[in-house]
Amino acid sequence: MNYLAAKKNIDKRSGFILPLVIVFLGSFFTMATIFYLFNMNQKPIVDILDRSAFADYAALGMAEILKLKVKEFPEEFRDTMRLIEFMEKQNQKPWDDIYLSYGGSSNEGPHTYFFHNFVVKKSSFNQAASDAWANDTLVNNKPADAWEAHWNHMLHYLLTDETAQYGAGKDFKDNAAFKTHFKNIMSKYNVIVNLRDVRRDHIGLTQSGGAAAEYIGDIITFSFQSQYRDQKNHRTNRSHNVTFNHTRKFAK
Amino acid sequence: MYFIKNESTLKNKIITCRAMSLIEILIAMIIGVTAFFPIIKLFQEGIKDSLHSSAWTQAREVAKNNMDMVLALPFNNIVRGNNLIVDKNSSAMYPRTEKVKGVDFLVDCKVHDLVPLCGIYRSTRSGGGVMTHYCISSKLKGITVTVKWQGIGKQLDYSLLTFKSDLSEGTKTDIWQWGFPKYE
Repeated sequence: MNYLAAKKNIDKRSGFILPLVIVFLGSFFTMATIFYLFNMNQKPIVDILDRSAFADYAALGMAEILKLKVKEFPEEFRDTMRLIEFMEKQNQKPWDDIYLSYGGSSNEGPHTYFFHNFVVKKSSFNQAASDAWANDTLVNNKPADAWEAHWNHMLHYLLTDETAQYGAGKDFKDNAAFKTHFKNIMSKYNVIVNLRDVRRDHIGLTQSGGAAAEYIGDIITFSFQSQYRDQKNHRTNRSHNVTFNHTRKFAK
Repeated sequence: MYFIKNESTLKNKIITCRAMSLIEILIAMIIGVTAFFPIIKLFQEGIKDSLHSSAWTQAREVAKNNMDMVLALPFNNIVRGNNLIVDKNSSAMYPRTEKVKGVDFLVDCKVHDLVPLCGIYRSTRSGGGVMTHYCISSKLKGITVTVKWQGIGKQLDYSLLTFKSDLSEGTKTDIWQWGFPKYE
């Protein structure tokens, strides 16, 4: 009887269903293997987060350069901020000019010189790419290369190299090497960062009336905006605010 | 008799239990392949995450941690070159390996000594504008932290890049001007 029962069980398992399940699972896992192998490029699904973190540090870095500029050129910063604040009180929009200005443009003016190298709405060096980026259009069926529009402009001024005017290039240490290095990294992440606003926040520090007009001792806030593409190739914006304690250039 | 009858039924059953026909295999495969896509879609992100992205996420965190450590150092400790950064005890910090969940993340840090041209600057002075070109030496560094780890078959990497300025005191002698100021 045991023999018969065993035979009966074998019969049940060796019917139609068991092979069907085996073939089903086999084909399922075969497809899973193919699917897995086709994903061997190992591009992360969290690519967007990589770009987001990259944008954080790019904005932080740009803020460092701007802090240095403010620290080293406090009078020029003061002159520019006075103009900007005056224009804003007159309901004018100085930042619109700054976004659109570059050397030689019609938007260029005394209120734009100090900051416009940190803004790339337009670029005198690569207008086609920057326009394409601004209009969210495709170039050769690809999104415009952000770094091409952005860093060609910014690095030309901020980190100029051996092509600098007046034969000054030999003094620029690592600048040329850095530009190549930077280009390689930027083209990988395709993130751009623009300065969007600068304002001062009085925090009640003790200062004389004269010092208040100099912006010394104030907390200055730089607002940057990063742009990059998400996984569906849609443009994504993020804001990055960096505060800066604007102290005197030299200790008294 | 009863036994013989049963035996005969059993034999018949065994005979009727044949292997699957090609058509049946084909049907099962079509069902299996068709079922694969909607089912895998449900788990796709999870599967991808488990295969690849957890390592990427971890690499990003390792890069951020190391970048923050470097930025917290005094400016002079951030020495120009590949992996030449030193900590407060003057010990080399890089390259270093961090092991997280069995994965070795190799961290490198590259530092460029940069000279920013702080603009072709035009300022308004009484009597007209003046255009000057200024540069500042030894006050700006470009820092790149790169994390590498072994992926499935190939080495993967993730980089972060930022700048660090020396804001301790303004430059006294190193601000230099290109050429001559151009009065407008």
